[in-house]
Amino acid sequence: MAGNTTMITMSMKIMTIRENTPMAQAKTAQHRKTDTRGIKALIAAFALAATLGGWAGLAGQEQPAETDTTFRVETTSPASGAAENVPTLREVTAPERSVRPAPVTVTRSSR
Amino acid sequence: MQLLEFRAMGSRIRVILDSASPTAAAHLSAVPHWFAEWEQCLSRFRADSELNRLNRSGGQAVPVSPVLWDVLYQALSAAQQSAGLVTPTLLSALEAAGYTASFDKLHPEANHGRHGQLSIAAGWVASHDWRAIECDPENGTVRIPAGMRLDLGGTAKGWAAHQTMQRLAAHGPVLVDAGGDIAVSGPQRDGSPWPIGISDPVDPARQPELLLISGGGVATSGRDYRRWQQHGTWQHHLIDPRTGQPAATNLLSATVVAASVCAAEMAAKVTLLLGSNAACDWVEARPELAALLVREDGQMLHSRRLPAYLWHDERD
Repeated sequence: MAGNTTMITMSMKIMTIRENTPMAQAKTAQHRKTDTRGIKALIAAFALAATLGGWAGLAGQEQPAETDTTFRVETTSPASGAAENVPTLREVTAPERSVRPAPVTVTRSSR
Repeated sequence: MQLLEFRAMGSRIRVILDSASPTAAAHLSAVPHWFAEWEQCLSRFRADSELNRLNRSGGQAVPVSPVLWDVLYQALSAAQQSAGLVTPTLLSALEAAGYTASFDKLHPEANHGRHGQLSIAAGWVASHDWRAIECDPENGTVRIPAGMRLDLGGTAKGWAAHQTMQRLAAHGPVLVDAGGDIAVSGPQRDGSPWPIGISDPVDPARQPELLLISGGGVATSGRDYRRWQQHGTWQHHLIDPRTGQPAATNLLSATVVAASVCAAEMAAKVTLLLGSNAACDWVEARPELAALLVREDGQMLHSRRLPAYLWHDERD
């Protein structure tokens, strides 16, 4: 997001410099018309480049964010408050029951 | 999982068949009939049993059924493996100690002294030597010396549990508990072992240890239950063949895990008769056995191999 904002500001500065130059005021209306078209095309090109650049920047930032989320799921620690709020899904093995089975019969001296 | 419970051979019988088949119940329903037939053949408390006919044979060779042959063979094998400590020849001594009726009908607090003295005449041990029994496999006959009488109680329950387990095993994993003598065919259908509690002889409601058994057998021998008073003193059913009297042992009970219920039943009796010190050595010398011994002071002794069969709580 920060990269996108920076590119737009730069294109606005370029446009302002061109409009205040003395050489530009001396040109004919035909020339002015042609320059205006060129400037507009330039601005549009810059704006398009800025937009594309901003999107590219955003796309570049998404990948680390995903990696970070996955990491949290796998290493949830009870001591981490942030991690406690992340739903975790783990495969666990239930411990074997240690309940003494009931005898089916009892050995004793003859009854 | 199908469960069947009934009483036979003076004990509670519990059979568990791990099967979802609709025919499982039909297979189980045959078990009480098997036990009834075996009891009629092997009981010393039924005057017309085949065993009692053999006991009355007066030194003559008599033909015996395959069931009696099988159980007698099992009992004599146990006698051989235990150097005579577990022997079927102790009926006279049991009756002399007051064990004269099925324990279901015996009143432990009452005096059972009508058979008189407990003292065993000199030469008793020699006259009750199991090696004097003659078995003729060709003719299917057995001869016991005149005056010798057999009791197959403990052996019969273990044998019956093993037979039942074998007959049902084709229909699914099976556990057969015959009065505490337990036969296991293999792991349960889901592959897990059978959980079997060990009763505390001091407090039978407690089960201080839990066995996990995937096959073979478990048996417990003890003097905590089948006991009664005679002449004002407590007697129990485990006769020491070296004296002909109820064993003087510092063990209340012995539980043994073995490759089969018959082996476990024999080993449990031996360890109980030996007492804690000798029993530990005897068990440790046999890698196929694991044992839990409970002394009369309540202390529990684990053999080295027992932990392999015990449930371990993770807190331990």
